[in-house]
Amino acid sequence: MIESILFVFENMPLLLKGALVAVELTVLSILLGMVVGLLVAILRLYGPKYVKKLMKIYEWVLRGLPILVILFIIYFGFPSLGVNIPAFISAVLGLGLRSSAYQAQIYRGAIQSIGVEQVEAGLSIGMNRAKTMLYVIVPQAIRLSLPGFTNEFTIVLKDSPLAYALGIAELLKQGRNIIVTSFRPFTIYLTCAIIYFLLFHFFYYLFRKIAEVYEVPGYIMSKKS
Amino acid sequence: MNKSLLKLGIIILSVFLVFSLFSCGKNEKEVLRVGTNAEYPPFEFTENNEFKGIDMDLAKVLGEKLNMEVKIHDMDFDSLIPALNAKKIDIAMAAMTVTEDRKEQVDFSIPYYSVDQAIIAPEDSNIEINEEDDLTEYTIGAQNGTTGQIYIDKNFIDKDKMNKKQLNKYPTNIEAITDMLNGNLDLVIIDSSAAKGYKKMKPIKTIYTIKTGENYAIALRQDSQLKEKINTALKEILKSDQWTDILNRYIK
Repeated sequence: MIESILFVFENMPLLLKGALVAVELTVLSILLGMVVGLLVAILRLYGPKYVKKLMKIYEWVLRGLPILVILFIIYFGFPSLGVNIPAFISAVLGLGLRSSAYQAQIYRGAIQSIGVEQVEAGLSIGMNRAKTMLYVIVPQAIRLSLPGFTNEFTIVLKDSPLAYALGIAELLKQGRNIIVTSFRPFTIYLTCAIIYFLLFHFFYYLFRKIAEVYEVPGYIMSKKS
Repeated sequence: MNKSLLKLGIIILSVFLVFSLFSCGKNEKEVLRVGTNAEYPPFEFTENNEFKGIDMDLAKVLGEKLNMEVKIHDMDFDSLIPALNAKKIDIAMAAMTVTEDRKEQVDFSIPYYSVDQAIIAPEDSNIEINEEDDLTEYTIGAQNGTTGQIYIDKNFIDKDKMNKKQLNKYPTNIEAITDMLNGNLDLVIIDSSAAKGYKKMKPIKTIYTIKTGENYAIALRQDSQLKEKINTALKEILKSDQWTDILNRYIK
Protein backbone atom coordinates (compact mmCIF):
# COMPACT_ATOMS: atom_id res chain seq x y z
CA MET A 1 0.00 0.00 0.00
CA ILE A 2 2.65 2.50 1.09
CA GLU A 3 4.78 1.33 -1.79
CA SER A 4 1.89 2.07 -4.18
CA ILE A 5 1.47 5.57 -2.79
CA LEU A 6 5.18 6.24 -3.19
CA PHE A 7 4.99 4.93 -6.73
CA VAL A 8 2.11 7.27 -7.52
CA PHE A 9 3.96 10.23 -6.02
CA GLU A 10 7.05 9.40 -8.03
CA ASN A 11 5.01 9.57 -11.23
CA MET A 12 2.83 12.51 -10.21
CA PRO A 13 4.78 15.18 -12.15
CA LEU A 14 4.16 13.31 -15.41
CA LEU A 15 0.50 12.77 -14.64
CA LEU A 16 0.03 16.42 -13.69
CA LYS A 17 1.73 17.46 -16.89
CA GLY A 18 -0.82 15.32 -18.72
CA ALA A 19 -3.62 16.83 -16.66
CA LEU A 20 -2.49 20.33 -17.70
CA VAL A 21 -2.67 19.28 -21.34
CA ALA A 22 -6.18 17.91 -20.72
CA VAL A 23 -7.23 21.24 -19.21
CA GLU A 24 -5.67 23.23 -22.06
CA LEU A 25 -7.43 21.02 -24.56
CA THR A 26 -10.75 21.37 -22.78
CA VAL A 27 -10.64 25.14 -22.22
CA LEU A 28 -9.52 25.90 -25.79
CA SER A 29 -12.16 23.56 -27.23
CA ILE A 30 -14.87 25.11 -25.07
CA LEU A 31 -13.81 28.63 -26.11
CA LEU A 32 -13.90 27.66 -29.78
CA GLY A 33 -17.24 25.96 -29.21
CA MET A 34 -18.54 29.07 -27.46
CA VAL A 35 -17.66 31.46 -30.29
CA VAL A 36 -18.95 29.18 -33.03
CA GLY A 37 -21.90 28.00 -30.94
CA LEU A 38 -23.09 31.56 -30.20
CA LEU A 39 -22.82 32.46 -33.87
CA VAL A 40 -24.76 29.37 -34.89
CA ALA A 41 -27.43 30.03 -32.24
CA ILE A 42 -27.92 33.65 -33.32
CA LEU A 43 -27.94 32.79 -37.03
CA ARG A 44 -30.40 30.01 -36.43
CA LEU A 45 -32.73 32.36 -34.59
CA TYR A 46 -32.39 35.57 -36.56
CA GLY A 47 -30.70 34.65 -39.85
CA PRO A 48 -32.31 34.45 -43.30
CA LYS A 49 -34.31 31.34 -44.00
CA TYR A 50 -31.62 29.37 -45.88
CA VAL A 51 -28.99 30.24 -43.26
CA LYS A 52 -31.32 28.93 -40.57
CA LYS A 53 -31.60 25.68 -42.47
CA LEU A 54 -27.83 25.47 -42.95
CA MET A 55 -27.22 25.98 -39.23
CA LYS A 56 -29.77 23.30 -38.44
CA ILE A 57 -27.88 20.86 -40.67
CA TYR A 58 -24.58 21.88 -39.04
CA GLU A 59 -25.94 21.08 -35.58
CA TRP A 60 -27.57 17.91 -36.82
CA VAL A 61 -24.45 16.48 -38.46
CA LEU A 62 -22.00 17.29 -35.67
CA ARG A 63 -24.33 15.97 -33.00
CA GLY A 64 -24.79 12.77 -34.96
CA LEU A 65 -21.13 11.76 -35.25
CA PRO A 66 -18.97 9.99 -32.67
CA ILE A 67 -16.21 12.31 -31.52
CA LEU A 68 -13.50 9.81 -32.47
CA VAL A 69 -14.75 9.78 -36.07
CA ILE A 70 -14.65 13.59 -36.18
CA LEU A 71 -11.09 13.59 -34.82
CA PHE A 72 -9.92 10.97 -37.33
CA ILE A 73 -11.49 12.81 -40.26
CA ILE A 74 -9.77 16.05 -39.28
CA TYR A 75 -6.39 14.52 -38.49
CA PHE A 76 -6.05 11.67 -40.98
CA GLY A 77 -8.68 12.56 -43.58
CA PHE A 78 -8.04 16.23 -44.29
CA PRO A 79 -4.39 15.77 -45.39
CA SER A 80 -5.64 13.97 -48.52
CA LEU A 81 -7.45 17.21 -49.35
CA GLY A 82 -4.18 19.06 -48.84
CA VAL A 83 -5.03 20.39 -45.38
CA ASN A 84 -2.48 19.17 -42.84
CA ILE A 85 -3.33 20.16 -39.29
CA PRO A 86 -1.06 19.37 -36.29
CA ALA A 87 -2.43 16.92 -33.73
CA PHE A 88 -3.17 19.36 -30.92
CA ILE A 89 -5.00 21.80 -33.15
CA SER A 90 -6.90 18.92 -34.78
CA ALA A 91 -8.07 17.81 -31.35
CA VAL A 92 -9.14 21.34 -30.39
CA LEU A 93 -10.99 21.70 -33.71
CA GLY A 94 -12.72 18.34 -33.33
CA LEU A 95 -13.72 18.74 -29.70
CA GLY A 96 -14.52 22.45 -30.20
CA LEU A 97 -16.71 22.09 -33.28
CA ARG A 98 -18.58 19.15 -31.82
CA SER A 99 -19.12 21.18 -28.66
CA SER A 100 -20.28 24.18 -30.72
CA ALA A 101 -23.24 22.16 -31.96
CA TYR A 102 -24.30 21.41 -28.40
CA GLN A 103 -23.51 24.88 -27.12
CA ALA A 104 -25.58 26.39 -29.96
CA GLN A 105 -28.55 24.47 -28.60
CA ILE A 106 -27.90 25.63 -25.07
CA TYR A 107 -27.71 29.31 -26.10
CA ARG A 108 -30.66 29.05 -28.47
CA GLY A 109 -32.77 27.51 -25.75
CA ALA A 110 -31.73 30.21 -23.30
CA ILE A 111 -32.53 33.04 -25.72
CA GLN A 112 -35.84 31.51 -26.68
CA SER A 113 -36.92 31.06 -23.11
CA ILE A 114 -36.98 34.83 -22.63
CA GLY A 115 -40.42 36.07 -23.57
CA VAL A 116 -41.15 38.11 -26.68
CA GLU A 117 -42.86 40.66 -24.45
CA GLN A 118 -39.45 41.66 -23.13
CA VAL A 119 -38.31 42.47 -26.67
CA GLU A 120 -41.51 44.44 -27.17
CA ALA A 121 -40.93 46.24 -23.88
CA GLY A 122 -37.41 47.13 -24.96
CA LEU A 123 -38.58 48.44 -28.32
CA SER A 124 -41.40 50.42 -26.71
CA ILE A 125 -39.01 52.43 -24.56
CA GLY A 126 -37.02 53.43 -27.63
CA MET A 127 -34.22 50.83 -27.77
CA ASN A 128 -33.42 49.40 -31.17
CA ARG A 129 -33.22 45.65 -31.80
CA ALA A 130 -29.48 45.36 -31.23
CA LYS A 131 -29.66 47.28 -27.98
CA THR A 132 -32.58 45.19 -26.78
CA MET A 133 -30.55 42.07 -27.48
CA LEU A 134 -27.44 43.38 -25.78
CA TYR A 135 -29.00 44.90 -22.65
CA VAL A 136 -32.15 42.85 -22.12
CA ILE A 137 -31.89 39.43 -23.70
CA VAL A 138 -28.20 38.49 -23.56
CA PRO A 139 -27.60 39.22 -19.84
CA GLN A 140 -30.51 36.96 -18.95
CA ALA A 141 -29.63 34.33 -21.53
CA ILE A 142 -26.07 33.99 -20.23
CA ARG A 143 -27.36 33.31 -16.73
CA LEU A 144 -29.90 30.85 -18.03
CA SER A 145 -27.36 28.96 -20.11
CA LEU A 146 -24.82 28.50 -17.31
CA PRO A 147 -26.09 25.14 -16.01
CA GLY A 148 -26.14 23.72 -19.54
CA PHE A 149 -22.75 25.22 -20.25
CA THR A 150 -21.27 23.70 -17.08
CA ASN A 151 -22.57 20.34 -18.14
CA GLU A 152 -21.10 20.74 -21.63
CA PHE A 153 -17.75 21.78 -20.16
CA THR A 154 -17.52 18.64 -18.09
CA ILE A 155 -18.51 16.52 -21.09
CA VAL A 156 -15.65 17.98 -23.15
CA LEU A 157 -13.28 17.46 -20.22
CA LYS A 158 -14.29 13.83 -20.02
CA ASP A 159 -13.96 13.39 -23.80
CA SER A 160 -10.48 14.92 -23.87
CA PRO A 161 -8.75 11.54 -23.33
CA LEU A 162 -9.81 10.64 -26.87
CA ALA A 163 -7.13 13.04 -28.09
CA TYR A 164 -4.79 10.23 -27.08
CA ALA A 165 -5.74 8.53 -30.35
CA LEU A 166 -3.95 11.39 -32.17
CA GLY A 167 -0.89 10.86 -29.99
CA ILE A 168 -1.41 13.85 -27.71
CA ALA A 169 0.25 13.28 -24.36
CA GLU A 170 -2.73 14.14 -22.17
CA LEU A 171 -3.40 12.54 -18.81
CA LEU A 172 -4.53 9.11 -19.99
CA LYS A 173 -1.65 8.77 -22.46
CA GLN A 174 0.87 9.71 -19.78
CA GLY A 175 -0.74 7.12 -17.55
CA ARG A 176 -0.44 4.46 -20.22
CA ASN A 177 3.21 5.33 -20.81
CA ILE A 178 3.87 4.72 -17.13
CA ILE A 179 1.93 1.45 -17.19
CA VAL A 180 4.06 0.16 -20.08
CA THR A 181 7.22 0.15 -18.01
CA SER A 182 5.74 -0.40 -14.55
CA PHE A 183 2.93 -2.77 -15.47
CA ARG A 184 0.64 -1.44 -12.78
CA PRO A 185 -2.60 -0.62 -14.58
CA PHE A 186 -4.83 -0.53 -11.52
CA THR A 187 -2.78 1.96 -9.52
CA ILE A 188 -2.23 4.28 -12.47
CA TYR A 189 -5.75 4.17 -13.92
CA LEU A 190 -7.17 4.77 -10.45
CA THR A 191 -4.87 7.78 -10.02
CA CYS A 192 -5.96 9.09 -13.44
CA ALA A 193 -9.59 8.63 -12.42
CA ILE A 194 -9.03 10.61 -9.22
CA ILE A 195 -7.31 13.43 -11.12
CA TYR A 196 -10.12 13.58 -13.69
CA PHE A 197 -12.67 13.65 -10.93
CA LEU A 198 -10.86 16.44 -9.07
CA LEU A 199 -10.66 18.47 -12.29
CA PHE A 200 -14.35 17.88 -12.90
CA HIS A 201 -15.16 18.95 -9.37
CA PHE A 202 -12.95 22.04 -9.55
CA PHE A 203 -14.59 23.36 -12.72
CA TYR A 204 -18.05 22.44 -11.52
CA TYR A 205 -17.44 24.43 -8.36
CA LEU A 206 -15.91 27.34 -10.30
CA PHE A 207 -18.93 27.69 -12.58
CA ARG A 208 -21.33 27.44 -9.67
CA LYS A 209 -19.41 30.25 -7.96
CA ILE A 210 -19.63 32.34 -11.12
CA ALA A 211 -23.37 31.69 -11.24
CA GLU A 212 -23.71 32.78 -7.62
CA VAL A 213 -21.63 35.92 -8.04
CA TYR A 214 -23.61 37.09 -11.03
CA GLU A 215 -26.96 36.02 -9.68
CA VAL A 216 -29.70 38.64 -9.75
CA PRO A 217 -31.50 38.52 -6.41
CA GLY A 218 -35.07 37.35 -6.77
CA TYR A 219 -34.53 36.19 -10.33
CA ILE A 220 -35.36 32.68 -11.52
CA MET A 221 -31.88 31.18 -10.90
CA SER A 222 -31.65 28.97 -7.89
CA LYS A 223 -28.45 28.66 -5.90
CA LYS A 224 -28.27 24.93 -5.96
CA SER A 225 -28.82 24.07 -9.57
CA MET B 1 -15.72 36.16 -4.42
CA ASN B 2 -14.94 39.52 -5.96
CA LYS B 3 -16.41 40.07 -9.43
CA SER B 4 -13.52 41.98 -10.97
CA LEU B 5 -10.98 39.61 -9.50
CA LEU B 6 -12.85 36.70 -11.02
CA LYS B 7 -13.01 38.45 -14.40
CA LEU B 8 -9.28 39.17 -14.28
CA GLY B 9 -8.55 35.58 -13.39
CA ILE B 10 -10.57 34.30 -16.31
CA ILE B 11 -8.88 36.70 -18.73
CA ILE B 12 -5.39 35.76 -17.54
CA LEU B 13 -6.21 32.07 -17.79
CA SER B 14 -7.51 32.35 -21.33
CA VAL B 15 -4.59 34.48 -22.51
CA PHE B 16 -2.16 31.96 -21.04
CA LEU B 17 -3.94 29.11 -22.76
CA VAL B 18 -4.03 30.80 -26.15
CA PHE B 19 -0.34 31.62 -25.98
CA SER B 20 0.58 28.10 -25.01
CA LEU B 21 -0.86 27.11 -28.39
CA PHE B 22 1.65 29.22 -30.28
CA SER B 23 4.67 28.36 -28.20
CA CYS B 24 6.13 26.02 -30.79
CA GLY B 25 9.80 26.67 -31.41
CA LYS B 26 11.69 26.95 -34.70
CA ASN B 27 14.80 25.02 -35.61
CA GLU B 28 17.44 25.27 -38.32
CA LYS B 29 18.39 21.63 -38.92
CA GLU B 30 16.12 19.62 -41.16
CA VAL B 31 13.67 17.64 -39.04
CA LEU B 32 13.14 13.91 -39.32
CA ARG B 33 9.69 13.15 -37.91
CA VAL B 34 9.76 9.62 -36.54
CA GLY B 35 6.43 8.00 -35.70
CA THR B 36 6.29 5.33 -33.03
CA ASN B 37 4.02 3.69 -30.50
CA ALA B 38 5.94 4.02 -27.27
CA GLU B 39 4.13 1.20 -25.50
CA TYR B 40 6.34 -1.63 -26.65
CA PRO B 41 9.38 -2.35 -24.51
CA PRO B 42 12.17 -3.10 -25.14
CA PHE B 43 11.81 -1.44 -28.56
CA GLU B 44 10.03 1.75 -27.59
CA PHE B 45 8.78 3.08 -24.29
CA THR B 46 9.07 6.18 -22.16
CA GLU B 47 10.99 6.69 -18.97
CA ASN B 48 10.63 10.01 -17.19
CA ASN B 49 9.05 11.45 -20.32
CA GLU B 50 12.03 10.44 -22.45
CA PHE B 51 11.75 8.05 -25.34
CA LYS B 52 13.86 4.95 -24.85
CA GLY B 53 14.30 1.55 -26.43
CA ILE B 54 16.11 -0.09 -29.32
CA ASP B 55 14.16 1.77 -32.03
CA MET B 56 14.47 5.11 -30.28
CA ASP B 57 18.24 4.78 -29.83
CA LEU B 58 18.54 3.63 -33.43
CA ALA B 59 16.54 6.68 -34.53
CA LYS B 60 18.96 8.91 -32.66
CA VAL B 61 21.99 7.35 -34.37
CA LEU B 62 20.20 7.51 -37.70
CA GLY B 63 19.51 11.20 -37.17
CA GLU B 64 23.21 11.84 -36.51
CA LYS B 65 24.21 9.96 -39.66
CA LEU B 66 21.69 11.84 -41.81
CA ASN B 67 22.49 15.13 -40.07
CA MET B 68 18.84 15.62 -39.26
CA GLU B 69 17.09 16.51 -36.05
CA VAL B 70 14.96 13.59 -34.84
CA LYS B 71 11.51 14.41 -33.51
CA ILE B 72 9.49 11.56 -32.07
CA HIS B 73 5.73 11.45 -32.64
CA ASP B 74 4.09 9.00 -30.29
CA MET B 75 0.77 7.54 -31.47
CA ASP B 76 -1.36 4.42 -31.74
CA PHE B 77 0.31 1.56 -33.61
CA ASP B 78 -2.72 1.36 -35.92
CA SER B 79 -2.32 5.06 -36.73
CA LEU B 80 1.29 4.84 -37.94
CA ILE B 81 0.64 3.91 -41.57
CA PRO B 82 -2.23 6.41 -41.98
CA ALA B 83 0.02 9.05 -40.39
CA LEU B 84 2.82 8.26 -42.86
CA ASN B 85 0.48 8.60 -45.82
CA ALA B 86 -1.08 11.74 -44.37
CA LYS B 87 2.48 13.19 -44.19
CA LYS B 88 2.24 13.62 -40.43
CA ILE B 89 5.50 11.72 -40.04
CA ASP B 90 8.45 10.96 -42.36
CA ILE B 91 9.31 7.47 -41.16
CA ALA B 92 7.83 4.97 -38.72
CA MET B 93 10.05 3.02 -36.33
CA ALA B 94 7.91 0.85 -34.16
CA ALA B 95 9.21 -2.71 -34.33
CA MET B 96 7.15 -2.97 -37.48
CA THR B 97 7.26 -6.27 -39.33
CA VAL B 98 7.50 -6.19 -43.12
CA THR B 99 4.33 -7.79 -44.53
CA GLU B 100 2.79 -7.93 -47.99
CA ASP B 101 -0.33 -6.11 -46.79
CA ARG B 102 1.69 -3.28 -45.34
CA LYS B 103 3.83 -3.12 -48.48
CA GLU B 104 0.72 -2.14 -50.42
CA GLN B 105 0.44 0.94 -48.24
CA VAL B 106 4.03 1.89 -47.47
CA ASP B 107 7.64 1.20 -48.43
CA PHE B 108 10.21 -0.40 -46.12
CA SER B 109 13.93 0.04 -45.50
CA ILE B 110 16.28 -2.91 -45.26
CA PRO B 111 15.43 -5.06 -42.21
CA TYR B 112 17.32 -4.38 -38.98
CA TYR B 113 15.98 -7.05 -36.64
CA SER B 114 14.43 -10.48 -36.95
CA VAL B 115 11.87 -12.14 -34.67
CA ASP B 116 9.48 -15.06 -34.32
CA GLN B 117 6.09 -15.23 -32.66
CA ALA B 118 6.12 -16.35 -29.03
CA ILE B 119 3.20 -17.94 -27.25
CA ILE B 120 3.30 -16.87 -23.62
CA ALA B 121 1.39 -18.11 -20.58
CA PRO B 122 1.33 -17.22 -16.88
CA GLU B 123 4.33 -18.66 -15.08
CA ASP B 124 2.19 -21.08 -13.05
CA SER B 125 0.21 -22.28 -16.04
CA ASN B 126 0.46 -25.96 -17.01
CA ILE B 127 -0.69 -25.58 -20.60
CA GLU B 128 1.53 -27.45 -23.01
CA ILE B 129 1.76 -26.68 -26.69
CA ASN B 130 3.57 -29.31 -28.73
CA GLU B 131 2.42 -28.29 -32.17
CA GLU B 132 0.70 -25.30 -33.62
CA ASP B 133 -2.73 -26.91 -33.83
CA ASP B 134 -2.76 -27.36 -30.05
CA LEU B 135 -3.45 -23.63 -29.88
CA THR B 136 -7.01 -24.15 -31.14
CA GLU B 137 -8.07 -25.42 -27.72
CA TYR B 138 -7.31 -22.16 -25.93
CA THR B 139 -8.34 -18.51 -25.89
CA ILE B 140 -5.57 -16.27 -27.11
CA GLY B 141 -4.96 -12.54 -26.72
CA ALA B 142 -3.06 -10.27 -29.09
CA GLN B 143 -2.38 -6.62 -29.74
CA ASN B 144 -4.63 -5.52 -32.57
CA GLY B 145 -2.89 -4.98 -35.91
CA THR B 146 0.22 -6.98 -34.97
CA THR B 147 1.57 -9.92 -36.96
CA GLY B 148 0.65 -12.25 -34.09
CA GLN B 149 -3.00 -11.28 -34.32
CA ILE B 150 -2.96 -11.52 -38.12
CA TYR B 151 -1.26 -14.92 -37.91
CA ILE B 152 -4.00 -16.38 -35.69
CA ASP B 153 -6.70 -14.83 -37.86
CA LYS B 154 -5.26 -16.16 -41.11
CA ASN B 155 -4.15 -19.62 -40.01
CA PHE B 156 -6.85 -20.58 -37.54
CA ILE B 157 -9.95 -18.41 -37.66
CA ASP B 158 -10.20 -17.98 -41.43
CA LYS B 159 -9.73 -21.75 -41.79
CA ASP B 160 -12.46 -22.45 -39.21
CA LYS B 161 -10.05 -24.25 -36.91
CA MET B 162 -10.83 -21.73 -34.20
CA ASN B 163 -13.89 -19.82 -33.10
CA LYS B 164 -13.73 -16.05 -33.53
CA LYS B 165 -14.38 -15.66 -29.81
CA GLN B 166 -11.13 -17.45 -29.02
CA LEU B 167 -9.07 -14.48 -30.16
CA ASN B 168 -9.28 -11.33 -28.05
CA LYS B 169 -7.78 -8.20 -29.55
CA TYR B 170 -6.36 -5.41 -27.40
CA PRO B 171 -5.01 -1.90 -28.04
CA THR B 172 -1.60 -2.95 -26.71
CA ASN B 173 0.18 -6.02 -25.37
CA ILE B 174 -0.09 -4.61 -21.85
CA GLU B 175 -3.86 -5.10 -21.77
CA ALA B 176 -3.52 -8.55 -23.32
CA ILE B 177 -0.96 -9.71 -20.75
CA THR B 178 -2.83 -8.11 -17.86
CA ASP B 179 -6.04 -9.81 -18.95
CA MET B 180 -4.21 -13.12 -19.17
CA LEU B 181 -2.76 -12.71 -15.68
CA ASN B 182 -6.24 -11.81 -14.45
CA GLY B 183 -7.37 -15.22 -15.67
CA ASN B 184 -9.50 -14.09 -18.61
CA LEU B 185 -7.25 -15.61 -21.25
CA ASP B 186 -5.10 -18.71 -21.56
CA LEU B 187 -2.34 -17.44 -23.80
CA VAL B 188 -0.99 -14.36 -25.52
CA ILE B 189 0.77 -14.26 -28.89
CA ILE B 190 3.51 -11.68 -29.09
CA ASP B 191 6.80 -10.97 -30.86
CA SER B 192 9.56 -13.09 -29.28
CA SER B 193 11.68 -9.99 -28.63
CA ALA B 194 8.86 -8.31 -26.70
CA ALA B 195 8.24 -11.52 -24.75
CA LYS B 196 11.81 -11.25 -23.48
CA GLY B 197 11.23 -7.67 -22.43
CA TYR B 198 7.98 -8.38 -20.59
CA LYS B 199 9.44 -11.38 -18.82
CA LYS B 200 11.56 -9.03 -16.75
CA MET B 201 8.43 -7.30 -15.48
CA LYS B 202 5.75 -9.96 -15.12
CA PRO B 203 5.43 -13.62 -14.13
CA ILE B 204 5.13 -15.02 -17.63
CA LYS B 205 6.91 -17.73 -19.63
CA THR B 206 7.28 -18.53 -23.29
CA ILE B 207 5.81 -21.98 -23.90
CA TYR B 208 5.99 -22.20 -27.66
CA THR B 209 7.60 -20.37 -30.55
CA ILE B 210 6.16 -20.15 -34.04
CA LYS B 211 9.09 -19.74 -36.42
CA THR B 212 7.95 -16.91 -38.63
CA GLY B 213 11.31 -15.26 -39.26
CA GLU B 214 9.76 -11.82 -39.50
CA ASN B 215 11.81 -8.77 -40.18
CA TYR B 216 11.50 -5.41 -38.49
CA ALA B 217 12.15 -2.50 -40.81
CA ILE B 218 11.64 1.23 -41.00
CA ALA B 219 8.44 2.18 -42.82
CA LEU B 220 8.51 5.05 -45.31
CA ARG B 221 6.05 6.68 -47.68
CA GLN B 222 6.13 5.09 -51.11
CA ASP B 223 7.22 8.36 -52.71
CA SER B 224 9.79 9.06 -49.98
CA GLN B 225 13.10 10.63 -51.00
CA LEU B 226 14.73 9.26 -47.88
CA LYS B 227 14.85 5.57 -48.73
CA GLU B 228 18.35 5.44 -50.29
CA LYS B 229 19.85 7.64 -47.61
CA ILE B 230 18.30 5.64 -44.80
CA ASN B 231 19.34 2.29 -46.27
CA THR B 232 22.94 3.43 -46.66
CA ALA B 233 23.04 4.80 -43.13
CA LEU B 234 21.32 1.72 -41.72
CA LYS B 235 23.83 -0.63 -43.37
CA GLU B 236 26.68 1.27 -41.74
CA ILE B 237 25.00 1.33 -38.34
CA LEU B 238 24.16 -2.39 -38.34
CA LYS B 239 27.83 -3.21 -38.87
CA SER B 240 29.03 -0.83 -36.15
CA ASP B 241 29.63 -1.29 -32.44
CA GLN B 242 26.97 1.29 -31.77
CA TRP B 243 24.31 -1.22 -32.81
CA THR B 244 25.73 -3.98 -30.55
CA ASP B 245 25.77 -1.46 -27.71
CA ILE B 246 22.12 -0.57 -28.28
CA LEU B 247 21.07 -4.21 -28.34
CA ASN B 248 23.08 -5.01 -25.21
CA ARG B 249 21.48 -2.09 -23.43
CA TYR B 250 17.96 -3.50 -23.80
CA ILE B 251 18.13 -7.24 -24.49
CA LYS B 252 20.71 -9.68 -23.26
